Amino acid sequence: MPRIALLFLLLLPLISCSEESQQEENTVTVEFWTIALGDAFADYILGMISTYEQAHPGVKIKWVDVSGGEVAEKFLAALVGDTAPDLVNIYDLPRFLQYDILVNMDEAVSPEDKAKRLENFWNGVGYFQGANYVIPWYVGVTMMWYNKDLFAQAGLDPDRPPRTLDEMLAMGRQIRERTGKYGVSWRLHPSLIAPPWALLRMDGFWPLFDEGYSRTRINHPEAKAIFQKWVDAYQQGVVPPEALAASHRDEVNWFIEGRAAMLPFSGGWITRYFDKTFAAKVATAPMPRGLLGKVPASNQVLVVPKASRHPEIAVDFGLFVTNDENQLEFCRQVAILPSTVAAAADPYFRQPPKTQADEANQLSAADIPNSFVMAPPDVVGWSRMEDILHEEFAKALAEQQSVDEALVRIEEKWNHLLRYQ
Amino acid sequence: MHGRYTPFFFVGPGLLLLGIFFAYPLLDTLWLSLHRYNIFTAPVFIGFDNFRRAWGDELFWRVLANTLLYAAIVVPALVVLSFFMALLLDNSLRLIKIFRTLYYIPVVTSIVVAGIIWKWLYNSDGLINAVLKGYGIIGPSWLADARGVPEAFLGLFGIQTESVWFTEPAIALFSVAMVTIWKAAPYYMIIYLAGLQGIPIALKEAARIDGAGGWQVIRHVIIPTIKPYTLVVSIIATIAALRTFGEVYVMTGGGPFHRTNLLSYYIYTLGFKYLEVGYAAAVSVFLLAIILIFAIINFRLAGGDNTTGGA
Amino acid sequence: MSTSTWQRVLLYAILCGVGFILLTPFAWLLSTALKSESADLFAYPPQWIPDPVVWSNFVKAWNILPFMRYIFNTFYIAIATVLLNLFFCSLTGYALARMHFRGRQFIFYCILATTMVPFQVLLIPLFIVTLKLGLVDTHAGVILPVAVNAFGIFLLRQAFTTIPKDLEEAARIDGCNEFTIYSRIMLPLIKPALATQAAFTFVAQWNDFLWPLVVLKSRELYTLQLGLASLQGVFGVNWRYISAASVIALVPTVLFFLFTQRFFTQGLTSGAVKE
Repeated sequence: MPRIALLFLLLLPLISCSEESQQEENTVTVEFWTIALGDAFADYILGMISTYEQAHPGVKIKWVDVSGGEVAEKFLAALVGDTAPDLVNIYDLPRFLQYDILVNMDEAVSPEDKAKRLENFWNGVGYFQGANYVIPWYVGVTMMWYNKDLFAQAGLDPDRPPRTLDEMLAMGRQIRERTGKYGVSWRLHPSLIAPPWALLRMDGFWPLFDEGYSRTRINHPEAKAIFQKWVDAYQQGVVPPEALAASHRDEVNWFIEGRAAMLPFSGGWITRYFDKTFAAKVATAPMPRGLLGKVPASNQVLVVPKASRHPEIAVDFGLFVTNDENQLEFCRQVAILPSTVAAAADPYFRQPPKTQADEANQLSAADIPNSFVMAPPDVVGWSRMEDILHEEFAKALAEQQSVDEALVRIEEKWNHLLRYQ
Repeated sequence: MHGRYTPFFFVGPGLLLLGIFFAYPLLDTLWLSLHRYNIFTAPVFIGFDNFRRAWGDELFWRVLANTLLYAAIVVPALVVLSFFMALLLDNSLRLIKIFRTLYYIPVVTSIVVAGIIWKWLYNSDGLINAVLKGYGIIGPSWLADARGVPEAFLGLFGIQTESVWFTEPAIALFSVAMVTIWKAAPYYMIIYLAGLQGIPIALKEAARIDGAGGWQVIRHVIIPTIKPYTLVVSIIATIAALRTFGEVYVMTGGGPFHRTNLLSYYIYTLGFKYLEVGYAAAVSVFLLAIILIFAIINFRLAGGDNTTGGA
Repeated sequence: MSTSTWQRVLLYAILCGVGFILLTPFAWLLSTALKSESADLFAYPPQWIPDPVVWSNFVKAWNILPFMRYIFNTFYIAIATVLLNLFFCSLTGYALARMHFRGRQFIFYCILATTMVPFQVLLIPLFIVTLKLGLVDTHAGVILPVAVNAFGIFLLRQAFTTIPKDLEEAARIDGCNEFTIYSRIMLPLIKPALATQAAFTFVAQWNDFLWPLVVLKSRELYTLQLGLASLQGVFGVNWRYISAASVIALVPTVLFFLFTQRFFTQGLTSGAVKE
């Protein structure tokens, strides 16, 4: 039946396309995953790779750029299939840390290399019960963008942004009342900038658990006062109602759409989404302080799964990608900050700013010593606990229960999980 | 007639594929549902613990209730709306092909794009509320409001109610369901359209000559004739509704506090975020059981399996 | 139905009304895609007709996403799935309808029962199978799991049962073997049912998001759905580009359906789901 034969010919490439390309002998291939860098940074990444390959004959680096939301799912999939990549840029680490599947960097990295990296990032998001499992890469320290137009319309001084969180909420309230716009673009549902537990930490309530992780101490008057403050703000319209059911980056959209006047954000790279009219309306300020006096910092990290076939080379290449020189070069290309001592001290971060992004970045850079890394508690089962926290807190925000009730329920459920695990 | 083994050459390839990509994963799901398994360490047999856990899992029941409510909104709406849309398109106007194609656009729109557009429309200060404002109504933030639809509706007339009967479905769930209806109605419309075009014109004419008005023709001629299509539409729509994932993933992430969280999204979270694969499997088995029950009810209501196909 | 002029006018009015409701979201999408850098996207009342109209968003969006590749991938996956699905489902359906062998009824009822199992339930174990077969991050991994489906077998089996016996007998007397009877005589007779199944499969595969999301990792293998999802990563929140890209992504699909519409509706008309 010729027509059916034709059909199979057509489908042949489909069956055979999964074959792996043959590798040269004596060549070691290291697979390196990044998150949604896209074409914009291809030259930078490929440049680093070729430099490294020249210095290390016999090593080949295979770069895979995975689109944003899905990197963890893909990483997981690869681990199950025993096709683990060797060096991976990853976030939302707790679920991986608790299963002991990543290379312990305190053991794999020499003390000299460790000393070159800023201590609070080394023992940051990758720190889990006594050891660090990540190589810190680039950093974002929270500063604040605000909309001067909306400030002026609300009768606020556009050149005097808030200095404390309380002041920020008060100004937000005034903006809401006078302009009908929202005050603060803040996502109270799962959020990168400030998840509910970080609200507690910014105002000095920390840690959330006792020392042996046997009980939580979250049901505490201090925690109650902090949450109550945010619940009030939400109900008064300081924060957009969508804060309860939003997805990745929505808070950035609300700010850029002009719906909300203030956006706490990790630095300057956001400016590539501004258009000219909008850029003229906005200004930068240091992140308002909570009672802790420190601002949240986020950190992109590289991990090496234990299942990697060449962990030593992967660690070595990871240290190369994150060395002073390469991080500084990355910072020159996009408004981010480095995680190494020498690069962070570079005069580049104190030059007179040329662009809005530079301004934002210098504010962020100035706050590096004043920052705490957004690392959730290093407790087993945190992913589930965090969702419980979100759920109960959200119910309080939506007036379905009081903050007191929320805290009691969180305490009860968390303690149950702590016993169960 | 044919060689003894010939049938197996015909049935073999299909069954092989079904076996690999369907039966095996299904058995695997059943097997995993009896284990504690996190992907990184070997599965541990725990009997029916996962099912017991689901039984006591408040969130599971919440999500299950959401899913059933959601199906209860979506399926009847789709059956009715797609039928009337098909009636509308069942004619030979010159531009009708253009209309059919335009009506079909929502079906082939990426759920990601649909999600973006609808989020705009649904914002507290989005287009829908801008229109409502013209009538003096202050609309909610459609995808973030956890109040019940009846509760909020009564609230418009100043009636406050505490009764639990008015708290379902949540406005947010209802809004998600609207997107599904908007996106899927034209799909089922095409199935109905095919059915309508299969009805001999003479039949409709005959009814008309007998003095039947338009509505009577629809009721006594068209609806009974296309009953097999209604069965197909309601079965496919029910299964699709119980499997809904994209709308939640793209628009709400299950929020506010799980009021829009549906079973398939919950299973996805359990498996890929919490890495509780065994428990995810147990919840899947529950979903499977529900779908089977629904399918049987559907078959019964619509008059048995002999109307589904040609035989 | 015979229609008078006023009926026609009324009908057009209703058609436009319903179309308006269905397509309002797109009007906004299109309008946003045509707005300039300085236009306020979220002005109230909304500005429907951009001033000035700007086409550059389309050019930029086209240049940043590898559209041709995504469109090609999507069509390739959808069409390959349809072809394989029709082949395997019709083969199985044919045997179940026209042949007598031990276990036939049992197999048929098993298949019937499984039309109800949703893809979602199988996601995790299916992923493990796909992985073991080495199909993760290949188009085959997206296609093969849906290359045969129980509903399709059921549908085509029903269609095969309606064909009169004498046709088959005649062919057999002419010395045709079983495969020739299936492919030369029977398949052409159930074209409408095949078209129905093709339409279902095509749309399902075109719209699928979750399975390709989990299976594919290389950007060059992405479907349109995944490409658009990754837009948010690449473009961040430039609504103008996202809108423009979305409009571009719609064009091939709309054209495809405009030209194949007859095939789909006719296919459904005569046979498949009918008594």
